Amino acid sequence: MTTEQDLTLLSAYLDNELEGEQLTALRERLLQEPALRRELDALKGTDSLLNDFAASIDGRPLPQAVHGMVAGSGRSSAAKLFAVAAAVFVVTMSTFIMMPKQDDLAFLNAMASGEIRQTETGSVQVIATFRQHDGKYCREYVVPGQHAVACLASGGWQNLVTAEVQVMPEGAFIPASPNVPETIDRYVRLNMSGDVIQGDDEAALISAEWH
Amino acid sequence: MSERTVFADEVLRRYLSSELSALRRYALSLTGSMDDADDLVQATLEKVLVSSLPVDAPKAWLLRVCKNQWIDELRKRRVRDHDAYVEEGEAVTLSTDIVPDAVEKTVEDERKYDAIAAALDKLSEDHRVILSMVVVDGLSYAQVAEALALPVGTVMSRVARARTSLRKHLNEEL
Repeated sequence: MTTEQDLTLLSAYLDNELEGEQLTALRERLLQEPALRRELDALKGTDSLLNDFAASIDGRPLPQAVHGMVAGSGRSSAAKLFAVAAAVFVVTMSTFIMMPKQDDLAFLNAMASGEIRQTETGSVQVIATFRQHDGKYCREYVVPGQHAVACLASGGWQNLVTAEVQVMPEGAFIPASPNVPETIDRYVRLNMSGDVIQGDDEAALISAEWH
Repeated sequence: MSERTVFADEVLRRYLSSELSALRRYALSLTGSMDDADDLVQATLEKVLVSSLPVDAPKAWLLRVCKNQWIDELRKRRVRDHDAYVEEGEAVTLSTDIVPDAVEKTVEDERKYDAIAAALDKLSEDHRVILSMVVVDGLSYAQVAEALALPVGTVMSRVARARTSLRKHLNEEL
């Protein structure tokens, strides 16, 4: 007879939430008690069915409205900024464009995604962190004059793709061309392995100095 | 939430884009209906795009917003159903287009999906929410505890009860 306590343990076992002595003890019992194994298999089967059902929505096209909410507005907001900038932007490009050298990328070691820092030349922002298919950690960032993706190699952070951006006097970034952000987006989409790294996972990488 | 660091707009949209598939699955497991799931995803995104998400626990918050939106929707439906009952003198059941209609499925798949949707429908909202968070979206008990403001021990026992209830209801349906 499986008790409620057993079912709680089996459930936590399925969710990888047991550790130490509890985990060892349950594994030993599973080896010795066929009824407990049957319970575990039954719960696994239910989980599997629930996941199959949930995944059945993957085959249904994403509603256009939802797609537009997530994907479309990044470009449109950039386009809006560009339009505004066309009216008010009166500075000389050469004055404001600054292409950072590789050794200027040390800020990528410590900044969290979404964090913005003000520097003498303007705002610096890390947009996202991800891992490439070759295993390298990469970060998308924006500094005055440049929107780029840099990846961590043996010699430090190295830019792999860059796009020039113009800078408005108050420090807001706008794309030099509406196509430029798409170049960055395409690189990220094609090269990112798994999900964006964020929150605790990103903080752990930063504190472990990206090891 | 107001004291937490939240995603900037561009990062938020990229994050939401990367989580869209998982969010739709979660929504389907909550609602049991593809139409309702996509409506729920849209309502969730509308909410999140205004309030953003905390950078330290975005997924838990995203699912929490989704759950709250669904509970609000259920409340509205209950009010509407009650009004319809009063007007027509008969009970109105909730809309349950539980058969995914735009996906090619085998008859066997369809039977299983009907059964799991019906079994999910018999769960309490608490059980359905917590099971969807853990089984469908893979959140840890600690993440669920934060999202639902519950002790981890409560999460553990509630997940177990939800799992065994779902299995029991599923056995009745199959």
